[in-house]
Amino acid sequence: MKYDELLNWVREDLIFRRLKLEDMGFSLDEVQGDTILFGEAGLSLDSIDGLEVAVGIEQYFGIKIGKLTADIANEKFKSPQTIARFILDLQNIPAV
Amino acid sequence: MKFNQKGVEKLLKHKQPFLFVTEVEVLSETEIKGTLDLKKTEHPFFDGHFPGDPVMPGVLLIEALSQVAGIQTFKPFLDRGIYTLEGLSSYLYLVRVKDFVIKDKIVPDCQIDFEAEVKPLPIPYFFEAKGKVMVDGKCKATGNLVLYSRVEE
Repeated sequence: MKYDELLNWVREDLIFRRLKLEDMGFSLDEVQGDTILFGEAGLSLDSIDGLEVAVGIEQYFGIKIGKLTADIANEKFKSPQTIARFILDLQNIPAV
Repeated sequence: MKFNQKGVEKLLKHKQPFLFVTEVEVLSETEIKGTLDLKKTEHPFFDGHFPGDPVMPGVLLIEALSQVAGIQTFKPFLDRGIYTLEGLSSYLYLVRVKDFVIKDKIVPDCQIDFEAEVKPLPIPYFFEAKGKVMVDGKCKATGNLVLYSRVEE
């Protein structure tokens, strides 16, 4: 999967659909590549949403993320772009 | 590493009448087993569930398993010789129940045995527990739980 395709999958499937953001009153347009996902500066997702994202990545790609520290999790799951890069890093694929 | 009910009460914030663990034994880095001595006279909910036909509520089996598994999440503290979390801010919440199947009813005045394999999930403070509930060696229920467990020192 190329980076652009991966980013779209993260935005649409992993974040918007899996986390049921439509039910929370968001539209897909509000989930852009650089949208901050957690905290009041962004979509205000919480740690259970973060867990759902991690489990979604593991299930879809068949990879194990391992245990992340709070700092690393905050950095890697900051936005759809950082999540897409994180998935590529897990697969050792350079972003192109 | 074994803990009787007094030891369990020092680790869990849960107290009577919502403590459903009589004793636990931490078996390894990930495995724990526990018991609940289920006496009808000690649990008033049997009067209503059901009148004349007491049955252990399924949701309380899930709760009891989460309490047993929750103690395993404190293993790093136990390894440091810290056997009480009293005085610390600790949070242990059941946040997800997956594929919990109750195969047979459990009636009071028995001992319920719990087994759980507890592993950390990628996101900090979350753990997955794969559990089994047994009475007299017979499997009564199985299921997976997700726990949020955090202790602030």
